[in-house]
Amino acid sequence: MPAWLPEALIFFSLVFLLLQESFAGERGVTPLLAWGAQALALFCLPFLPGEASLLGGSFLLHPQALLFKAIFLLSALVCTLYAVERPNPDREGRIRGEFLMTLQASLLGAMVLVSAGDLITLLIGLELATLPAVALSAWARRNPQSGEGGLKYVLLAALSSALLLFGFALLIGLSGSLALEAPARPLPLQGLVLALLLAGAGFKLSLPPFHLWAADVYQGAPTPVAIWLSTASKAAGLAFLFQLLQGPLAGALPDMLPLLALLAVLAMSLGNLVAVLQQNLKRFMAYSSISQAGYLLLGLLDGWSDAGLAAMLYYMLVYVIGNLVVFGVILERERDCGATEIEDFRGLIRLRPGLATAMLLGLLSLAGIPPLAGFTGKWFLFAQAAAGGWYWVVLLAAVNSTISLYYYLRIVRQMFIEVDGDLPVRGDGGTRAGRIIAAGTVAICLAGILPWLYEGMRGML
Amino acid sequence: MKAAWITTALLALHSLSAARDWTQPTLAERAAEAAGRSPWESAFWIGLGLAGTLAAMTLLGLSLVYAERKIAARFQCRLGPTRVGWRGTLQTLADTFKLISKADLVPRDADRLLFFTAPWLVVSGMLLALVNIPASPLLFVVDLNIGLLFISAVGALSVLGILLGGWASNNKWSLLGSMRAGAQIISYELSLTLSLLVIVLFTGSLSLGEIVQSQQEGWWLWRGHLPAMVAFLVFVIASTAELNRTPFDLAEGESELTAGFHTEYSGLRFALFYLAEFLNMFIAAGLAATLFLGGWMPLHIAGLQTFNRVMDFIPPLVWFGLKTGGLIFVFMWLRWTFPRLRIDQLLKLEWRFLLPLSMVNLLVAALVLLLGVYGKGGPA
Amino acid sequence: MRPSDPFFYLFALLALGLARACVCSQHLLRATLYLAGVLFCGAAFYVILDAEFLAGIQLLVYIGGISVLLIFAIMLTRGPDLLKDRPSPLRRNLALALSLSFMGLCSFLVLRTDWPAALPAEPHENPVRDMGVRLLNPGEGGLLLPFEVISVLLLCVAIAAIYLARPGSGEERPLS
Repeated sequence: MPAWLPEALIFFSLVFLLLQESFAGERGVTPLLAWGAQALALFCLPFLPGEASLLGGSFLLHPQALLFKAIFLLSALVCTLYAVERPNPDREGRIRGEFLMTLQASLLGAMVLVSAGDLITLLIGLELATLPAVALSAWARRNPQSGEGGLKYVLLAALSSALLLFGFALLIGLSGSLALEAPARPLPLQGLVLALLLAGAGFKLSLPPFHLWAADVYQGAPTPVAIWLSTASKAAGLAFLFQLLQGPLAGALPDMLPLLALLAVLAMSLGNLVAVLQQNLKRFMAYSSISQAGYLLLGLLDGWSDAGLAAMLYYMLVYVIGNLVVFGVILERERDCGATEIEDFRGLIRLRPGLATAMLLGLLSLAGIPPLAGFTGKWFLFAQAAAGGWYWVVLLAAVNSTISLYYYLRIVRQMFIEVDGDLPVRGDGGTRAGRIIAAGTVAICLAGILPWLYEGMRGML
Repeated sequence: MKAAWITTALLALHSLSAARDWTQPTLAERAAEAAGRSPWESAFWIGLGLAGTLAAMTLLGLSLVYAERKIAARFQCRLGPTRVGWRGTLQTLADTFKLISKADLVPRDADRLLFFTAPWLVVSGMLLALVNIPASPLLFVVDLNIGLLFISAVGALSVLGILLGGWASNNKWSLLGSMRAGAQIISYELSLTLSLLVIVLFTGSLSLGEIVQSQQEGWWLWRGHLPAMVAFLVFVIASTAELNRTPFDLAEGESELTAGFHTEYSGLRFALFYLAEFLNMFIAAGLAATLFLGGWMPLHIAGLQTFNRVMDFIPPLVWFGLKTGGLIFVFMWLRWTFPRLRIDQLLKLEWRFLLPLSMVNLLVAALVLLLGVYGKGGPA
Repeated sequence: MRPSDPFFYLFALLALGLARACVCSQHLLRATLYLAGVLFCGAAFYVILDAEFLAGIQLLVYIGGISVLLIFAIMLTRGPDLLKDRPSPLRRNLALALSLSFMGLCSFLVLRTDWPAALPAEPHENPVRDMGVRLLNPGEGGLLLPFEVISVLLLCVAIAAIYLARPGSGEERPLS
């Protein structure tokens, strides 16, 4: 199967959605065009060649890219399926072709980003992943919060792009090449280049001090978009960091370790401490995702190793599935009672026991409770950090895990213990989202106990 | 007697041009070449270029305003200026003196800095574009290798000047007029640039000198087949709109907006805006002549040797003048014939018709180029 | 000293002055004009460096596009009233300290760096054509993929922006 097939599928689906939206009139678009292409692309991934280089090396395919593409396609598929349910993100009765098209564009950007073979492609892939996501976050035009979030996101995205472009300009100008590889001789201004590139990656990963956009954007954005931002967009940030670390910053990782450790601790602690105070569940998930990004960085503290890479990819996958489940439940509740405050989950076990159970498992997995997948993922990451000798970081990470357990259980308490008195609206459910949530929940449980997922990833790399 | 005068004038002009020798160095090249040898010579060429451009600006301004008034008068069955000079030829000169000696009014609440800067921005953008226009092998100030790009780029200065001038006047008519003008110029810039690209595609160069040279064998209007003709039409329509001339003169529609963005301007600064308007028309016509009608290249018809010789005898400057003058006449003709469009008609024309048309046209041009079917037929 | 050096310093000084004026101006529209001036100086630098094409693009994109866009945005939003705030001394000094420290950092890094000799520039007979060919070259060293991807980016972002800016049903509609 040709290596470019998934990208081509997504691209053509984008074009067809645009054409259909232009000419179909009131009938609107066929969502199948969007999620069908995503599902087909996901299905194609195992049959692609393991290594390929196209277009003079500007498009590369390797196992790491395949794994990332699987993550992107999975979350895009789930986002699309969530989004086509009523009410739609723009609450205009039917799903707009523009919405699906913009989502496809963001997905295409992420896929190009992981396959990029030179600096220009990398940068443009990153922009294509980010800018449509910015537009998506402001999609709910009736909701002022959505506009506010979109504005904050676009301003900070522009700032991070500016920093990143400055870094790229220095890198390309000083090394004189567009190749995505470590410069032959040490660059002048290496430190500045490194700081600028790291800032760009930090923004995508919402690592402090570049996290300021996350909470407002997650809260304001339509929930399917918040899912996209917290899963694929974050994975794209990780992929971008990987590309940098394998490319221009390859030699610089050992010098960066203290900085990365600091960033990791900062992200975990800050995300956790602020998450404790949140009342809105989407805001809460934003801070939770900031702290999760901190855990992810632990995998790098051992230096660049296959084991670390596998641990990070595995954790990323587990985190993505966990987030898809938790956000799926949030989405269902939002449809039932129109709000996403933590209070709206009170007594959920009485109202919708299935949803409550899924939410419980998803949250516990994010907190890292055995035997769920989140625990296994964190275990591998902590092991990496410990192997690198960063015991104080591991200690702090363990403390942070405990704190996170506290605030994840706050929601569980609302759902399972505070079941007396007036309960919120029940809602009728019965959407396709329920099946996806169920499948995700099963995946979380199984991935924690079946070892072959991690082993398989490690074997691939 | 008259015939003798004309022959003498033609001979004099002809001596200015080296016939068939169409690769004279431009003034800038002469200056650069002389720079190492003698700085004075270099300075002479640069000075000549600047002085020539300024003189051309003045002369063109005066004569174009006169021409517009005469032609308008003809269209309206009037006589136009008749009193000052022979058949009123000095009327515009007199009007210029009147304008310069008028009181220089600045509205009380105007933003003085921007108010003073705006006309100069407009004029400097136009001046920068003007030096690129090849009028003849000898009258060619500078041939940038990005000539076309440069001309559309410095056009931006004019937009900036118009917007700032309208804003700084602190008058609602001015503001509305400048926003209309800006929006219109930006919209029509798209199809204008796309039609320019057709010729860039055929010549493979952005340099106006090279574009003229490439038409030795025949003008692009014919050699480029259908795409070039469509591009020419789009260019004329879009540049009429860019010039804010009727039927696209919403920006200064007298009945709605007094006079548009220059309502509050008087005296010298008004004269500058007025000058820029007419010179922009010259630039648009000159560009169209250069790109589509062979610039200074004479009209040749393949196989007619004698005819071609005779055509060669007519100096390049005259060829350029005739083509440009003809196009300027077309612009004026349009202005005094058509009524003004409504804003929605204006936008529809650009976004629903001209823009798709010129995009498709560019693709067709690429196809024509790819199949290599251009360069045959027509006058060559 | 090359003949272009005085021009470089002239434009550099001009750019600095205009940049300062742009930041310090209390008047939004004037600040835009100053910004356009800074960008024009950027085009001049490109000309000094023999990159005429970039200079043209700089003029076209930044002065013809960005500045005009800024002016339109200001005009449509009654902008100058927005900038009537006088920053407090704390904010001023903080901003000054921050920018000076960034400048210090950059100067320190630039001065401390052992700059490699300028990379040998390949002579281009027709740089614009070479650039065009490279942008559409699918082979080694070609930039076809980013070129195509950026067109998808522009298309999608333009459509999304139109969608966001368009009034929805029930809101006020413009004249058609």
